[in-house]
Amino acid sequence: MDDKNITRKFRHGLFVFIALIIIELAEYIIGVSVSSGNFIFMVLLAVPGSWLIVHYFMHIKELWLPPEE
Amino acid sequence: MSTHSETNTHIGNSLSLKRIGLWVFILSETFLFGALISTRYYLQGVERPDHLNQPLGLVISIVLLMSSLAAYRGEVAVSYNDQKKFRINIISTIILASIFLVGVGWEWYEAFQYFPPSSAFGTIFFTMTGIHAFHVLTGMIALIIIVKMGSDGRFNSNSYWGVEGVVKYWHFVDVAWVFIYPTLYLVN
Amino acid sequence: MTQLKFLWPITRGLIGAIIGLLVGLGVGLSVSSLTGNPATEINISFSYVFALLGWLLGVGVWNSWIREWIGIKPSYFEAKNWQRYFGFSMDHKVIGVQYLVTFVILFLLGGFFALLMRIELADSGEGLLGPNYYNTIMSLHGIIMVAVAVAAIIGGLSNYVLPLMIGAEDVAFPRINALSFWIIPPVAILLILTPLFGGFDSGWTAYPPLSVTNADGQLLFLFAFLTFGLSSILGGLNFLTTTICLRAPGMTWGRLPIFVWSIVAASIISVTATQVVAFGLLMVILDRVAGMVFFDAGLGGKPLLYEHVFWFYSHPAVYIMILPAFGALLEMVSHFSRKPLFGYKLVVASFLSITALSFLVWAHHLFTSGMDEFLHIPFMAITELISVPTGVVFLSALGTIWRGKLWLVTPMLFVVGTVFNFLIGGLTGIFLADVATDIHLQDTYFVVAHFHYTMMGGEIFMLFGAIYYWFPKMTGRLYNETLGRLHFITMFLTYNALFITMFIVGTNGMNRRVWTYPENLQDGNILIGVFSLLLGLSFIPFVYNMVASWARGTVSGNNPWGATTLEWATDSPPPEENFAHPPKVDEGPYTYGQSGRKETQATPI
Ligand code: HEM
Ligand SMILES: [Cu+2]
Repeated sequence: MDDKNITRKFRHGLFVFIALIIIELAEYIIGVSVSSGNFIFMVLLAVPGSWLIVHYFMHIKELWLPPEE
Repeated sequence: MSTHSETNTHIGNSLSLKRIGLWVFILSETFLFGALISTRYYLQGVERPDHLNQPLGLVISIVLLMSSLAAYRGEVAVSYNDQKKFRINIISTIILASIFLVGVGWEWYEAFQYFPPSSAFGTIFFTMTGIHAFHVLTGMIALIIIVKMGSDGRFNSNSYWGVEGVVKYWHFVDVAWVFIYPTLYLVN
Repeated sequence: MTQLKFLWPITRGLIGAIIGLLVGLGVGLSVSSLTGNPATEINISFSYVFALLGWLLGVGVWNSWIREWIGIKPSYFEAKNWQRYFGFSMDHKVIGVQYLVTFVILFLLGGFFALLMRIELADSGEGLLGPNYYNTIMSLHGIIMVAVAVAAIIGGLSNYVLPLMIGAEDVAFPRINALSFWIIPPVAILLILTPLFGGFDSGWTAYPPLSVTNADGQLLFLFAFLTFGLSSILGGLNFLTTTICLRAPGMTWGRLPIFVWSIVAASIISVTATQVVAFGLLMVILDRVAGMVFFDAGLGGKPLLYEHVFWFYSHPAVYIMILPAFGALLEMVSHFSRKPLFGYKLVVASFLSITALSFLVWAHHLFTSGMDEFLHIPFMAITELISVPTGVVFLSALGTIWRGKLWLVTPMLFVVGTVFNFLIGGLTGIFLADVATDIHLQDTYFVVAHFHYTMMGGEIFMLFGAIYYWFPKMTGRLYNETLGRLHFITMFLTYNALFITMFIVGTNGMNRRVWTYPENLQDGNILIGVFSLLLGLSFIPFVYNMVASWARGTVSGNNPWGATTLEWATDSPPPEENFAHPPKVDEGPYTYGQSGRKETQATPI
């Protein structure tokens, strides 16, 4: 039971990681190919990227949950 | 003689209190990185020098993201009391972090030739990467401490705040990089 | 030997600092021999950073943190009675007193520097200090007083009373609380050492390019301010978390005493904005030590960057100073008028909107700096907007006093005095916020008088009022009322005489931050000097009163003021765990005039 849960959570982590890599690569490609005015793309990519980390890895939701004890 | 030590049941053991404290700290640090990033745009707009090693930047970004993944896995493992996976993953985080720092060092070495600290872009470049690397370094020390504490058997599935806190900080350092990387290497 | 055991933490800290200093010097020497950059400043930087670490490790960090991390049993030695005040105590009440005493001493030191300045200015020519030392003394006066204003109410008074007011046993992170106090001594030492390193002539604002090129003393100042910022951040973090997490059962957000709300608002500013100024100071340090060019216009830097970053913190910082003062003021107004606070919710809303707006007005300090013209009007408008919530605070104070039964004891006298002073401070602020008048008044003594009316007339007056108010809670004894009133009256009169004269010489063209001036301003300056001396003398009754009453004043009992908030429900001074029985709250903080009210907010057990 536990083992299954742990692999499931590991898999979630992997998905988030893959999404982050895709974002990073997209940034990179835009960065080297679009020679000017790419600022807005960077913002559009970095914001969701950071949100993925904040949401899935840092569990920001815990702030809105009632204290558990 | 220590009613006021942190083991005080009322104060010290509440998880949500520690979490909120850490989030407030993260909020505070966000302002530091916000100021750093704004400074880059204030001084240099979106200009970027020619000799910027963009591929290297990409590689170390990916290394840092990998370290975040490993840290996440370490936290999950300890929450299921899997001490072995916890150890392996946190140690991998530390190794990946050292690779990141070596990468930064390499970049600094190159940067000295093309845009030294006494040039406008160099000033920003060295400051931003330097402050970030300092955070990586403190995070690494914290990670080493939790590995040691873990091997002393101080964490289990019911009580692992130390791991949670350090890992959260580690992710935050990663979030900061997610903004720093495009700001330094990619915008144009 | 055993009697001296209480001095161990400080001794260990000093040993740690010396070892750190030597290690840092070694690192500095090797780094500077590698790079060949200006060596002294590199050495100073490394020595200081390592000495600071050594001091903190020795004084308590090693024992209470690191030992735990590496799996040795943490060792706490808590001395008893007065000896506690010399150690790394984690009791918020001890830390509060440590803060207060330290900052009152610093306040008197800063006042002494001001007297030195006035002696120089008594004559339009060269006097006691001369061009070499005047600016250093002026800058030291400025930064010390700013530090007092930022930290004395929050670090001292609110450390002591905030946990009591919300019914908590202590602050959220007692160890961090102790750390934030023990960071202060290095700050004070660095500042006092600056004259040995050539002083610093930049004023407390440290604008580049001057602050990048002047004597090494500047570097010490920069590190001192940076370290102080660290302490503010840790303090703010503690107070926010404490208020969020440790309120007693029934102490809802709507039942918090107004002082607690003001600390929450000020803490939000100190955890966020302080990071930004820390970065600003770091940039100056990097320009000096590492040869960077943030502010070197010739090489692509921009000196104006510093002014933006600095005021992005320092305008909100004036609210770090004044909001707790407002909080304490309204708190006392309600208790000493025996009436519920007028417009409680509106006041909370204005505290929070001041917090938000304070981040959007910084550039009113840059009207004459060469900043882009189109920014003038928006910043002027928002600056004037922020006086609306400030006005609400006044309205609330006046509405509470209105038809109340005033009890004019010393703290309440300070309240009335503060209301008067701050009115003048606020009204003169309007002239400065107006672009047209400011361009004439900038950098004159008009500005000096303005901010003294807000900071000293508002914040420092309230600090003293609040010290009198909570003195019985902290010591269990009553202060001497006659001496208290004497202190108030002399301080109030000389203070006003002094700074009103400053407005006049300011509008007549007396520039600030100068050691000499045209001869036609001589009379006004002599007058100011005389009033300053008298103002200085007015603190003698205060110091005497505090020391003597603490030692042998009349015993006060739990609630000498008959006030309703929680801190008065427990003993004076409170026991180590604050409340013998954890309190339960079922009504608001100011229940005066309600039929059948209990003595305080707490349900008696
Ligand atoms: C009614 C609200 C206020 C307004 C409209 C206002 C406006 C201003 C303006 C426009 C300046 C810049 C003047 C110049 O340099 O030419 C100034 C300076 C200053 N204000 Fe205020 N102010 C207000 C309240 C406060 C408060 C509450 C404090 C502190 C507790 C404060 C402290 C200062 C300080 C320290 C300076 C001088 C900074 C320096 O150059 O060293 N002000 N004020
Ligand atoms: Cu301002």
